[in-house]
Amino acid sequence: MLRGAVGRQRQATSQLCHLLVFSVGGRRLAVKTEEIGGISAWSGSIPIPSCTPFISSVIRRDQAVFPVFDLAGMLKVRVKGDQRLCLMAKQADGAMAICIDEEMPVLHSLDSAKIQAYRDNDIDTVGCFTDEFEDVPIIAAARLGAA
Amino acid sequence: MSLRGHRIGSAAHVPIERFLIVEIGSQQFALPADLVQGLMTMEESGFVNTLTVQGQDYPSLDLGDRLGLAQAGNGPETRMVLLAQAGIRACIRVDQVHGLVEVERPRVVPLPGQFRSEERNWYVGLILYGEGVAVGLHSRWLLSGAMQGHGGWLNQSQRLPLRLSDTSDRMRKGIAC
Repeated sequence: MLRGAVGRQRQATSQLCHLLVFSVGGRRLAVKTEEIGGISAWSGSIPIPSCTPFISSVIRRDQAVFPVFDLAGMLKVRVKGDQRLCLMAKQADGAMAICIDEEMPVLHSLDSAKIQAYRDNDIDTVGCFTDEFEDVPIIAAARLGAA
Repeated sequence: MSLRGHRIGSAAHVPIERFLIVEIGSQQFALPADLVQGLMTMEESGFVNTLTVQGQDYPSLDLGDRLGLAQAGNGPETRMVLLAQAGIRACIRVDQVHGLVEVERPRVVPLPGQFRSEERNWYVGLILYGEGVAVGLHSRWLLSGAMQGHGGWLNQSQRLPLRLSDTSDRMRKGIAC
């Protein structure tokens, strides 16, 4: 399901950081793979009236219920595609679902030293990296919704 | 008189809780069954701010407004649900009544910890119902906006009979007395 990144060279002394690059509303984002619990097809959510910002629905998987973080709403974009995907983020309170674009996420590895500070403050990140196109923020999935 | 409903779950000797599943604004909610005193059609209740049933006043609570939900207009499935606990009475308008269910306690899922705000006082948990989830409303929060009555605790003999004026198939399957 996931494709490996192309064109990345490892250095013997570097510490590799493994990322998953995905998109929400066409905006490219990354997350550390260790903060991901899985990716599956998005099958819709169940609204829950709530005062917590960007957390106002859940998904049910068999006998388990997971909260949904509205990352698209936070970024003021709309999730793209009819075959949307569900990214499960690991958190201290349990896994949390995020609806992402249908574009297939890509595994990406880079030297940790190449992670830079992210200048914008529209989202909580652990930094960003620059690829051939743009700066890609690395979201702090474990902290989403905690602010 | 006691209420019986269809049971969700299979294991014997598991503590159960009973809820009346209702729909408001296309979302399903679970009302604690011990609060429910009766159901009335809009034809029976009329359009009043306070329902008086068997000499007891039930002020109307706008649950849709409290939860920020767009409630549907009155339709054939619209019902007034009479609620009472500890002398506090209220009635709420719901878009549909799905039925009374007995839920094994393990199937009442705690609200995930990521819900951090005021809503933690609103819900007792999430009830796995059918293929979806019904939001279990907290009795105390539910009645917190109602007018304080003078009757004290209602005992079983004071309870109004659950009115089964509804003739839909769903209600017949869901509730039996």
